Amino acid sequence: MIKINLLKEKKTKKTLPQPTLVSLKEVKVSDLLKLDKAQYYLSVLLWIGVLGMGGWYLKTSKEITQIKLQIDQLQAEKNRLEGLAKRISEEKKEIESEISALKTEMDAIERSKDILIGLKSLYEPFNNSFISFSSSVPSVSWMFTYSQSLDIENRKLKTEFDLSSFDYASISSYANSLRKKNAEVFISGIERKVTPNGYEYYSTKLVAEKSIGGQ
Amino acid sequence: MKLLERIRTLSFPSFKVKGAKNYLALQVGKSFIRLLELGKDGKPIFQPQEIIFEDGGENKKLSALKKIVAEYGLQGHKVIAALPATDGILKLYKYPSKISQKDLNSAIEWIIKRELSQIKEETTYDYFILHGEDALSVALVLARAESVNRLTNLISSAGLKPEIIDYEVLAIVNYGIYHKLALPFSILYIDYDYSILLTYSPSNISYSVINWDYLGYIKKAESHSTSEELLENFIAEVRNLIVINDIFNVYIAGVVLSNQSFLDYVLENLPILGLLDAGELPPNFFVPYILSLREGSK
Repeated sequence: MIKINLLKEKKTKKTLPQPTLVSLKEVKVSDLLKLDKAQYYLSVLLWIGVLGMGGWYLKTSKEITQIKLQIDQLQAEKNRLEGLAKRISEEKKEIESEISALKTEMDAIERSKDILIGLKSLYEPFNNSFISFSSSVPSVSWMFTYSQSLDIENRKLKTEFDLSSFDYASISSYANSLRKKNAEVFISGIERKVTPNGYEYYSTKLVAEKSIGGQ
Repeated sequence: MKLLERIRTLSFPSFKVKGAKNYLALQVGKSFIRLLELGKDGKPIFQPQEIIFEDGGENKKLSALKKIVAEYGLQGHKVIAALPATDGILKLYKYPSKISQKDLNSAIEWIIKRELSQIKEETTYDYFILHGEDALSVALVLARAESVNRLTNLISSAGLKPEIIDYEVLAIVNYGIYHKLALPFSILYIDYDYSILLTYSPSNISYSVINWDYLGYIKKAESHSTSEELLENFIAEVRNLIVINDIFNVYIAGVVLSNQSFLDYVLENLPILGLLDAGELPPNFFVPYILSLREGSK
């Protein structure tokens, strides 16, 4: 709505009465202190309002400081917990690195154990081989040379020796028995030789190859 | 009546006055006074009063008003009154919508100073800023201080309290704004002393006062003397205004709504879109009705 009020202008023009000298003289302090009822109630209301606002302000400011304090405490707690978490994570890292070191060590040990077992499967038959050959030789024969070599790559034990005897039959039967036991035995022909003293004996060269070690 | 039925009649929901402060709405014309007070429920608190005077002396109006005040115990009631359209002028000034408040204030001050310098006698004024889509308009009402004083004296002498003096033209415009008539709208308001044809849109308010004596016409019609010529003159003047100003959306309001034969004649001869009633009140109380609504509305 369009609101026009032709009385409005006059109202706004209303001014306070100008105090003249006469009226100033008449003013008494007691008059100034006098309040009519409306003013009195209004002032009381105003004071109540002001006091109410003051009280409210105090209350809220207290609450605010308390909340600030709580926030500070929570912040400190947060920092503490953050430090703790950091320390724990560092410890965890250290433990992890130790665990990995131990693991590698264990792996190494495991490997060396395997190696030891593997070596054992090689050197035991190697060492036993001489004993078994020398003990199996017939008592009427003797060995001039004996050599033993190990091919680790192919796990082959090669044994070469010269066997001599005055008794032909014992050499040939030994060679035959050896051939039966071992798959790869090479026997050169049995030769007849004479000692410087004129004694006749028989000599042969034996080569035996044997696979050893399971792993 | 057939014609009447064809015309879209406007009915508005009953109005509830907000707030506790009721205003007595007073309309004072050359030959009548009307007094109305609406309660919170939008119903009149006492029987709406209209008194018509043969010759409108101020003393007669005052004594009549005093009588009503005494009869209904209205002493000290606040009054909102409308200054008659003939006692003031309404001017509209347009400014760009982006004008700063400071510039607008100084512009308004300047136009008021200029207007007042052109008027010899003492003048009161008030203005209202209308926010249109692309422009600001300032509706400035200037009135003779004497007319305003006469009205306020009448009110205070009757034991009432003058609070608001509105301008009749803007009160009629307010009816259209309040009831949200499609913009722009035009209202042909016919009263006893004169009639007003106005057009309103947020960027424009224009109005013409047609000095046609409806009261005199009724008397002549009652005494069976030649009244057709008077009526035809009026219709011709209104029609000319409608054609010249290219007015449409014309609604009709005022006392004529209760005069069926007159209304039929007007509706047959003028392009009237609808009738504006004063709620459940008699159509005479169109202006007091909208004055009563004023303080309850935004």
